[in-house]
Amino acid sequence: MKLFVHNFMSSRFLKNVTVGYPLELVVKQFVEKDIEFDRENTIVMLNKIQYEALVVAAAAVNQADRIPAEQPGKWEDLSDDQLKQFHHILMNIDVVDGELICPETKTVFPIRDGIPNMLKVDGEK
Amino acid sequence: MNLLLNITSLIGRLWLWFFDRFIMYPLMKIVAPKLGVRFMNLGYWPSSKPEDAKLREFMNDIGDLQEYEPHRAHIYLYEKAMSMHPKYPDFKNQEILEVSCGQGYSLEWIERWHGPAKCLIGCDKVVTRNVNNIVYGDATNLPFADESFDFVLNVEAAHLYSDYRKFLEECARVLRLGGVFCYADVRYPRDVSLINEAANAAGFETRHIEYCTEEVVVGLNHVARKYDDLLEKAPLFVKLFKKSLRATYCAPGTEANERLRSQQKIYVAAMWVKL
Repeated sequence: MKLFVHNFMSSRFLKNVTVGYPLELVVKQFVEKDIEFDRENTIVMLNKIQYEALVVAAAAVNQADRIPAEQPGKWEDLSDDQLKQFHHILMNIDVVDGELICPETKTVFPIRDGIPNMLKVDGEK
Repeated sequence: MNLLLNITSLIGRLWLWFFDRFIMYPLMKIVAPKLGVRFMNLGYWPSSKPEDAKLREFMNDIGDLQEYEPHRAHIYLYEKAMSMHPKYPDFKNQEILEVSCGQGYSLEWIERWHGPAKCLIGCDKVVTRNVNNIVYGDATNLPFADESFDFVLNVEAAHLYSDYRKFLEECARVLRLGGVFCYADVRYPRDVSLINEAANAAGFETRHIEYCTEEVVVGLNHVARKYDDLLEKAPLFVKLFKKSLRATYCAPGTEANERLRSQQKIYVAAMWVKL
């Protein structure tokens, strides 16, 4: 699971969950790849992400120091080097083993062999 | 005698209903990668009709599909569904979700030929490959935040879902305003207006509905030849289900094929926009 996927994911389909976002993330194993950087594509992506969730994801792989704690003003004003830090977190990190956790019910969704299992557990609606 | 034939036919259809939902996908999860089955749809073969013009032009420009050439009819079906999108064939920078993405080869295809699109996510109840960000998920309970995607794609899967209304509501929920939902599926004729009404009730505006059964019948002739060949090479435990599998892919000579030819069942392609 590339780290950008975490930005999309939610547990709101669970019973008694009102928002379910962002999911907590525990990463036990990940690999780093070298996906080609594209400035325009990175800016488009950053304009659509939820920054709070991105910080959660970066912290889960101990790389929160690559990016500011607060969202920068305008993505277009950042240099290529600065944007590459965001690109690295979003596109180059692949979570192999870990957990996604509902922030409201603490339901755990495992990530195994890079695939998150978001199917409802027994007992949920 | 007619009553007996009708009862036999009904039992056969009930068995196929059960087979499609509870046996086929677990079976294919084991067998499909080994047999080189990349797609599980009936296929499509574009005709000369104006609605296929953009897809024909795009595919002509690509020419040889290389490793995807054996899967041309399946690719055509995906292209047919996507060709209804106002931005087709350019999905540059779109954030795309395919619900029931199978093994993810369609997402690879989109990334290669319709991008650059890096934000591609697939969701399925049966996952056989860790590629292209596929998650295990339920189409009627999509594990994604509200207004996350620009484009949702769903090809020949929704007829298996337990609640198509809920599915459509979920698609509307995860799409941004102005987002596009492209859909293609085999249905009974009476279902089409119900599905369209449910899409409208979910917040979609209908932009395109098209019947393309004839083109799918031509496509499935190509697909069936390939699948019949694979079936001959399949392990014995797969061949035990030969008749049911052939019915699932509507092979010539099956009742399922005849239902499509006679349009007791039809193939519909639709595009909706979230308002």
